[in-house]
Amino acid sequence: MLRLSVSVALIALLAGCGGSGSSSPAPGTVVVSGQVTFDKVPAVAGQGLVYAQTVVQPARGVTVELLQAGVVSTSTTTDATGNYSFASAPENTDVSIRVRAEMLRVGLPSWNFRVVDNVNGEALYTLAGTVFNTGTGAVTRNLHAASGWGGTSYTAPRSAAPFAILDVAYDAVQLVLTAEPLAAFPALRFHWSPANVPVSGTAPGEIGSTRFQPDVGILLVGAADQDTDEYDRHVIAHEFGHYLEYHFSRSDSIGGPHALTDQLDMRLAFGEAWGSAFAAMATGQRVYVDTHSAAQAHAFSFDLEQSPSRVNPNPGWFNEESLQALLFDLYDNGRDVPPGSFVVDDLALGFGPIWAAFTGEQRTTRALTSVFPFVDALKIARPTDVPLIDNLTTSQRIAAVNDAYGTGQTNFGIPTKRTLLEVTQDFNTIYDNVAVGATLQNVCSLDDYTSALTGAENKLASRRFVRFTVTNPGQHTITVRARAPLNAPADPDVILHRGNGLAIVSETPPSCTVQTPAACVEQFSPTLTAGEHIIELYEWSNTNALDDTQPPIGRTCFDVTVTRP
Amino acid sequence: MTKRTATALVALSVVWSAPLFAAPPAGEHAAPARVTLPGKPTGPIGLEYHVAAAPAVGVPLAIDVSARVEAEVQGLSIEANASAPHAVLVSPPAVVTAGDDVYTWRITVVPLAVEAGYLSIIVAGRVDGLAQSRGVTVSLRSEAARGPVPAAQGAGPEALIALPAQESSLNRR
Repeated sequence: MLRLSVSVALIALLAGCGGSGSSSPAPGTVVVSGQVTFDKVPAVAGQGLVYAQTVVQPARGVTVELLQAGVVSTSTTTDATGNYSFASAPENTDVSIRVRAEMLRVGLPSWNFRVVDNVNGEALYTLAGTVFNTGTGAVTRNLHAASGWGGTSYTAPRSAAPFAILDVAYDAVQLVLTAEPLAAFPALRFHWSPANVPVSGTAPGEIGSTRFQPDVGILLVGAADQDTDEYDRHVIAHEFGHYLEYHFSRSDSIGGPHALTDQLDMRLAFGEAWGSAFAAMATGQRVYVDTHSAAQAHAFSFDLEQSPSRVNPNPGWFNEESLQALLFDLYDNGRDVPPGSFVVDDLALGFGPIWAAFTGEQRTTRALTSVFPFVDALKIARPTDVPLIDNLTTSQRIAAVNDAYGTGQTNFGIPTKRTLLEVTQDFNTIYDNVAVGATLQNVCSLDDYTSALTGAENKLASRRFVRFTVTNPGQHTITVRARAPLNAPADPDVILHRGNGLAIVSETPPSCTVQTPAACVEQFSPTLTAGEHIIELYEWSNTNALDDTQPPIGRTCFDVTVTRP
Repeated sequence: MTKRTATALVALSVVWSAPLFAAPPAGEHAAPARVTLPGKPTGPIGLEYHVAAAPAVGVPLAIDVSARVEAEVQGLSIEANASAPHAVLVSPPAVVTAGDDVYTWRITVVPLAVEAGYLSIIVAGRVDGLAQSRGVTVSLRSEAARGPVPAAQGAGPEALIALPAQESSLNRR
């Protein structure tokens, strides 16, 4: 069983202003009330959208307006059952009801979510009722947003879509409020249009892919027979998870293509795992489903519980599938036996401790964001649960986490190019250390974890991390110099992480050859404050796609020097 | 030599919440300089395509589709559907290579109009008895159809889209 319980008190909170009307209306007025609903089309693993199983759902927490002569005279919010009520509508008056694709609450908690059409001037979607006369008695006016599905294709406007999107936001908010009852959610726009296609281009609607983009919001594809996401609740909640990560936590993720079985840069692995785990928590469904194709009849899906027979080929701290399973097992109250574990998952932390770690050490750590600061925070906060937490990490081939840096990890994956023995000569710790005034030799940027599915550019060990501590604040010089032998002229690049997500990039193109590795150098001199800093270094081409005009040159090693003049 | 522009000491914050941190020092900016936004989660089928040339009306266009699949994927199939079937001729996908978990097909299309829409390509298989698929969409719109991006509406009255509602009512006197 999954953790499906929600706070009744929070439901009441979200219910907000709707649903009154038991008192007598003032003279000359009548009560206008009703319910707002929408078609919810289930996304089913292996089947896609199953229109035959469409259910009518209440539109919860959305703004409802009473219009007179087309002008808003008053507004309210639907409650948890989609009901609204205007207690004092003028009698014998022509009015209409309009429902905005908007969830709005001021004060604390607060939120402001809207669904807009990005190919139509960011216009807000509304559900428009027709004009009626209020008469002299109470009026019930129900509005329903239909899917527009005509049996084999969409044959009518897809009125339900914006409300299906907001329905996910409603559930996501409820989950967060269980942990942070006074959360103030920054404004968020969902950009959805039937013209939104999964194509990167310049034509209207060519959004590339569904995604969260910090300066824009959440973009969602909507092109029928290609890819639609308005009923793919996990997809929406996954992107909402990234929105939460951006505003309430922190992500140092480098992004890029990724597949479940890939051995990824640890920052990307955790960020994507968080999105999918949050999706399962918010929707109450552990099976992630993403539908697409003609008639929306195909799907990609996975079970976060990795059951019943799933064998993850690449478990570890660098693997999205491992980390999402870990996060979900920490949360849920299912007594399953995770693959690779000999112990039943008896841990059911719920969302509160997970949110605390996510918005605590995960946000403030001087380390890079990964599973390590998250689990470290969890273990510090839950000392009595440490054996069970360790059991869950171990089941994903993550050794017991004892700090935010993954110190002591022994699993460095399965290289896809050279042998494990060869690779572990170069890569056997997550963070190397260098003292100010010293040189660390042979820090190697690799392409040994290239994925057959998604290439090389953001995979494990393409970017390497070196820690150093500043005790004497001031200008420091960081030098990264290539070492022979080289496969090709090297281009070392450096990102200096200063904590709290702030970083400095140094990526001057060098002028050097294979025969002059010492000239393949990156050097810069930032002024640093006291405390720990992290150097992220990589051979630039190893962060390129395989089909790039300058593809990865593979193993390239560097010497790293930090000096304080 | 590398192809990119030199960017020395460009600062970034990959993803951070502005109110949480002090203003960065001089020379350090908060621009997300190297963020490649991740796409949706993907599974056991990796899909790439290559279009031989820019689409042009009346000119056959070869689209090579390559699927890389994990070993557990069984019964791979491909289908292609045009969003504007009256504006494009689509040949059935022809297998070019198959084996070693890599499959390639060629699909030839002939745009019949400038606005030829999109071609949706789906590769599907089964994993543990469950259908799994991956799709890509290819633009078939000719260069001539690619006008300037319309400017967003400026400030003014709130723009609204009125979607039709199914209404039911009850008046009680």
